[in-house]
Amino acid sequence: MNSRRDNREYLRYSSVGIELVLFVLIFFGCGHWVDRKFGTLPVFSLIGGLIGIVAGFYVVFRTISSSDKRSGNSDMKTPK
Amino acid sequence: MYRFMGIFQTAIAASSHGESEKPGDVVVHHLTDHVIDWGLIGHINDTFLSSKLFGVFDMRITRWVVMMWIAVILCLVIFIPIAIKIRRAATRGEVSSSRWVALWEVMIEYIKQEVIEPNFGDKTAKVSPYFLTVFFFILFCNIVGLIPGMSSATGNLAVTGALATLTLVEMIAIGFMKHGPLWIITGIVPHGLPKPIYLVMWPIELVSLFMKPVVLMIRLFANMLAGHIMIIVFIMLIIMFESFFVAMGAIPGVIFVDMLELLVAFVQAYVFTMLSAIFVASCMESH
Repeated sequence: MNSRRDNREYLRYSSVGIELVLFVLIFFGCGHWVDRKFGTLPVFSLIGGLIGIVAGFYVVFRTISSSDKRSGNSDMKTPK
Repeated sequence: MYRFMGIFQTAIAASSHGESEKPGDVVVHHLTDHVIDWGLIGHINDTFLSSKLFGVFDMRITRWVVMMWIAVILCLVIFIPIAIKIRRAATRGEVSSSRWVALWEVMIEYIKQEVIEPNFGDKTAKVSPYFLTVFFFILFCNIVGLIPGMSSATGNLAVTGALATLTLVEMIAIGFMKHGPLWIITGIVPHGLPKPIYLVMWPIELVSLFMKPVVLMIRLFANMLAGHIMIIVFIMLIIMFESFFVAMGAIPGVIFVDMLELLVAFVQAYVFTMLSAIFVASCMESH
């Protein structure tokens, strides 16, 4: 049962990388769209990119810490 | 071998059309979808489906639609007789001894025990039909693409997108059913956060919810497409260099990638089902 759970956790991590990239791209894209709409390039693109990076890392951190919690390791402080 | 012949034929046909068609065109030709314009399906396309549905959706039957039909028919032809056989054996109070049944039963049991049960526990019987269907549909789509002259529908972003949308719908539906309609507002964010932080977190969590199926979509699509690109590019090398010596390296390469594709077909179907199950199950748990 334990090894099965481990397999699940590894697969969960496997999507983290793409998620991080997608977060940055999507928030940057939104910022860029706002910039083009109001002609304020590059203010919102940068803000969007930054929010994307922060959000992406938050999601990565949450994924890792939540699976850490599930496997019974309580050393790490979890945001939940 | 037929696969090589098919690609060679296309390449020769492309070169005889004139110099304007480059190797890149041949590669793209093999990786993109085409509306079928011959035979009965071509006739149906021209007569019944020529106008767009709601002025937007092109409903003409393409090569990949036919490949999906083949996968569906394979699912029906394989699993309905098996189900009948198992039920008949069960009513007689014995276990079916057929090897054919045992072959598929092993795979079904594996998915059930490895993917569905660890995620859903006592609800396994309720949810397993969906996940098993998804697994075998993707598996058959992937494998059909390895047969010469056919192509795998899962190498198309629209097909994987539709499959991922099913997962998304299921995630949201299960969240609503388990935690009520307010789940989308309060349930996806961790409890006990101060209001200002909550306002920042909610959009991130919402995007994260939608991102999961997007990741599923990209993963399956990219993995299937990458294998096909590898195979075609290896073969195109021979045509580009116009030398038989290149073939000595390229053909073993193609055979190796083909074998790898066979493995990838199983692995990707498994991963898609597994991640769908994990995502849907995570919506059942309360934050």
